[in-house]
Amino acid sequence: MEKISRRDFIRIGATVTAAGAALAAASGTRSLLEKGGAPVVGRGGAMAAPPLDETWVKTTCALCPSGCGLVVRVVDGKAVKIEGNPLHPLNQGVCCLRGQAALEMLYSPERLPRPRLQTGERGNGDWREISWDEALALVADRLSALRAAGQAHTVVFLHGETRGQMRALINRFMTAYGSPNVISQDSLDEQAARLATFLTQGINGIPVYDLNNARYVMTFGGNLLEASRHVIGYLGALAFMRRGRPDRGKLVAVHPRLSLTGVKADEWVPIRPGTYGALALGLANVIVNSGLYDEDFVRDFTFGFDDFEDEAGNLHMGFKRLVLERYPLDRVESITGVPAADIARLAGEFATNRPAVAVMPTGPGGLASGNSLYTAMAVHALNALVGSIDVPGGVWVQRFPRLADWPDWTPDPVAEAGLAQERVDGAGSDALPLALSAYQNVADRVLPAPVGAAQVADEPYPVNALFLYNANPVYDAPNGSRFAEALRKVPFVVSFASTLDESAAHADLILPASTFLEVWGDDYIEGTGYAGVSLRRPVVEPVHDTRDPGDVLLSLAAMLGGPLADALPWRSYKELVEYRLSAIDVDRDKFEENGVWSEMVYFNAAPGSPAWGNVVGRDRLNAPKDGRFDLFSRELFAALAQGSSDDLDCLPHFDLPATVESGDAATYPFLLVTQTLITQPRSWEGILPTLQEAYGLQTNMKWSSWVEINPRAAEALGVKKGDLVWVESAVGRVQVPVRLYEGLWPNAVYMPPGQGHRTLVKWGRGSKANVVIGANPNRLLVAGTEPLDGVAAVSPTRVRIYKA
Amino acid sequence: MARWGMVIDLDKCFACQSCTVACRMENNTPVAGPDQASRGRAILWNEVLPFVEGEYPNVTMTFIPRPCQHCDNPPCIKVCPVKATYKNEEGIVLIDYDRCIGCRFCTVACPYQVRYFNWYRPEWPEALKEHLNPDPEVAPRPKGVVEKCTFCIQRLRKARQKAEAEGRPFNPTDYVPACVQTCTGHARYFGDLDDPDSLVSQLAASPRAFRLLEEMGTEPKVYYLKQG
Amino acid sequence: MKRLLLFSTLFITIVLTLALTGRPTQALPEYATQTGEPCATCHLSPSGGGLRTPRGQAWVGAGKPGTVPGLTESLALLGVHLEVDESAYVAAPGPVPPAEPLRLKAGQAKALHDWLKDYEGN
Repeated sequence: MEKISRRDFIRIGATVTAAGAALAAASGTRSLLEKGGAPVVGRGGAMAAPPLDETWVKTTCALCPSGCGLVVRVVDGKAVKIEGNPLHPLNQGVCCLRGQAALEMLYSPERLPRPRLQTGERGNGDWREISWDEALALVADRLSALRAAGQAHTVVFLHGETRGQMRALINRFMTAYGSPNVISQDSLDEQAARLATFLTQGINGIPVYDLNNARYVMTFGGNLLEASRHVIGYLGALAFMRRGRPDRGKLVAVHPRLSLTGVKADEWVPIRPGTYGALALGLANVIVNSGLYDEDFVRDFTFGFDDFEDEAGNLHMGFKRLVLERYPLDRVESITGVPAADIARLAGEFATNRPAVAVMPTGPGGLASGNSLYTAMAVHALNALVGSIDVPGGVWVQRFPRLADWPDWTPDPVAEAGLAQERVDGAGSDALPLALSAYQNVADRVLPAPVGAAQVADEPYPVNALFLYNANPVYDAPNGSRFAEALRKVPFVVSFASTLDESAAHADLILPASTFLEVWGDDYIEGTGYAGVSLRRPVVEPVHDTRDPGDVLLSLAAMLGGPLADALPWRSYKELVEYRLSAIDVDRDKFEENGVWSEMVYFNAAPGSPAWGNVVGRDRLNAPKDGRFDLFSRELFAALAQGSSDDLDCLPHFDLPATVESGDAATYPFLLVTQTLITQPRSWEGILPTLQEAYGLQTNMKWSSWVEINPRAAEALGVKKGDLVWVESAVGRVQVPVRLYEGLWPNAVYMPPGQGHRTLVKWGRGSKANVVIGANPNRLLVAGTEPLDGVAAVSPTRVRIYKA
Repeated sequence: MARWGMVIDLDKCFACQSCTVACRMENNTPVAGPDQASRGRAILWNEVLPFVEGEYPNVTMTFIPRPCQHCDNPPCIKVCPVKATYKNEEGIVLIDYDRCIGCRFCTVACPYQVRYFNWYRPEWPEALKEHLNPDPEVAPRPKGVVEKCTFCIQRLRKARQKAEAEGRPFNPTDYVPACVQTCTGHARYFGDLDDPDSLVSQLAASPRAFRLLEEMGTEPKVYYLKQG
Repeated sequence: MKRLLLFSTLFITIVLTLALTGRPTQALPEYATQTGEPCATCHLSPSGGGLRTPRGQAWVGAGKPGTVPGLTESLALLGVHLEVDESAYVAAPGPVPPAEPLRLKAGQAKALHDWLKDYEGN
């Protein structure tokens, strides 16, 4: 650090003041008027100002899936500062930059103040503001008519992140209405991680990693410290792993790009995009071959390590033979580009520094290579090999509180008929049997196939109405322009957007959602292992005439009556939440006062103990709940139509992503990597100006997008820092400035997701309104869908780069 | 009287920039917007600065969160022709906006480049003015003055007032700046450097501790702890 | 050379600090001094700072009083009633039965999809 010179500060610092300062001094005087009576920090320290009448209100953040507890400073009915709630066990009083910037969301000039109806042709932007009564009547009439016509199943509900009871409310609403089409954005990523955990460990959930106690952490993917599900918990835990305890743990980050996670890791392992699975299996090869695995655990608490015979006497391949025969180091090196010596060393370190934990790629874009299910299974298998299941420093299972049972209701014949229909996204069909959602498929199911392409599937039925909640497919789905086309084809589109995002622009009706700082709600505490709930409540009066989508759905249920009213008998979302939480054994006053309740302690189940069944096998349907971690997935064996015709179907294995293997490398030589930055709010589509001003830390880019290119590749291309280039894929192109970055796989290029929104607001002096800030890399992604689990297969997309 | 100082542990700092944003929200630094930001005029009192070294694949990157260093021997004060910038009795370097004539000698003199000039009267989109911190110390600064980190001096005043209202003596642990409170890696420490029992004193004496551009003799009161 | 100079300066500073103040190096940081408790009472880290234990969280929640509440008292302060049969988390000694042979019928995808679809996950 002593190497930093004064010149470095001048070079890096954003203030460009060094030259000509003395000259400018002459013009530095100002008129008294311009001072505007601003108070000053006077001599002798702080001035004696009277204390303001202020209150601090506890609530829960919703800008990313961490769901941190917040305390908001409210003065004169305005929220003016946000801090972390010290009593929330995940964030413990800290608050990340997104939470800090949530005030800019609450008071955003981009917010839609009241419901609006598109009057002209869809997408043209002719809007008329209407009252909530009128808006709700429009929706209820349409839903009633469709239901009466036996078309209930043609109503589709697309949603993104849901918090607390909201997902259950949406599902319940749509089930009682009679449509199977609740389609979650999970298929853009998280679905693979959840399913892999289920198919191996038998737990339907996202694993929690106990970094506090781990000695060795290997994270696949670059998101852990920026965009993982429990990012705030992991930041605190990693600090503790390093400096809080006597033995410092080691963090290794495997990713094609040196992300913040890689920078802050003890070691960065650059890897060819899309090949995490091969590396995990190569590591397993070394651990098995050298006998460094946990023999007792593998023998007693896993299934399918050695070759085995089934009841009929057929021989099946076990995990051991799989990795020894198929993933020797030279092969893994040639696939991943990680030197064999490094793989051997990393495997040795991982197996001998226990507790060690291997972290699945998490967060947006982490698992979207078309081989994500088996990749996640391969990574998770490493945890079983070293016996890290439910031990301190290993993989924990998130527990949830038991809440009051949902009231009984009986579906009517309309609902039954509707629910019996196939889903419009194809999830659960023979082609995608284990998919719970296939969000990216919706456009292709609504639209006829493009000229020259095969129809993805027979269009099962036309979609007559579509709801959008926390979802902006025109922006966030691969090849979103097709979604815009699809939305135009659906006769009735309703959006709950808070701002006029790209998809809402194609809606007939926008029912603007209140922000999380204006509503009641609950949030499960996740990332700690133990169960807990954090309360959400309005910190200020609603800024605009907006409503919580939970309240809107309950109003609609009441208006529609019948099974909907039976299934959802509450008048408000607040009542619903209060009912559900009523079963928690907690001192209500304390709960209210603290804003949060949790069990505070995680108990680790010893293998074979009575509680072990809760951490291995709990959620299995067909596979036995025998407390064994499936290296050979019995659940998958049962699910597949042909059973065991190929053992590889049930074992974690690796296939090169189609784009890497067979893509048009001559035309599109680069592999596009995207990875969410910590400066990107996860569930807000508008501009948060302060996050824009902190946007690209490594490249010092503000209010902009860029493409990162390895300097060697840039030299070959003949482009320099700052050059404007086109980044073009088979489906689209975007224009961005070049940034040279050494921390990048040589033929990978990186673009930050999250930019490319149009803003109607003039943000700051000299700036223009109605411009697009940065560029949206999703426009380059070629839509594909992974077999079995329906996860979007989009990365790495092949691109080429040329000067604009 | 305390002598306030800060310690930043670079091993626990994950460069998340929560400090940067917390600082803006607490201290009302204005939204620069795309145009002014592209001219390098974004005012962020507490920036995180990246330093990249090496070539692929052996690349290392160091991030230095950089608030005002609150030097005990501040070069900015020496060059101020109107004595607008000064160090108070608790060691905090402040600016009297009423006296500042905007000559920007201090922005040049500061070796850490922590001082920001208001090229124009601060502007916000109208709706965003609602969330501005109403504490008088951080009222938007006028055009033509220099501003920078004050260790959240308004928080010190409020902590003192609170202690007084509760009828107890003020304790140095009652007060931390916004960046310290929000730090996601718990990497920032704040307290009285004159109190040998304080955490900051103890950490500042750690073998890992160093200060930026120490050789310049500025005697900063912000200490860093080395990574690794 | 520069590095050497830096370290020697640091070393001298430390020695001087110790000599002049005459304080033992294990002087406790503020809160430990105030409450008379070791750092690890409230922090996961034995050296203090960072993530807090349940007692530490309760102490903060109670407004940082002079003494740190005990664990039971802390849980009560946080409104937590925790009843756990700790013996359920301990394995009985003895051998684990061998895995049963694989005998699953195939083609259960639809059933599995329905099972996962209706699973709230929490």
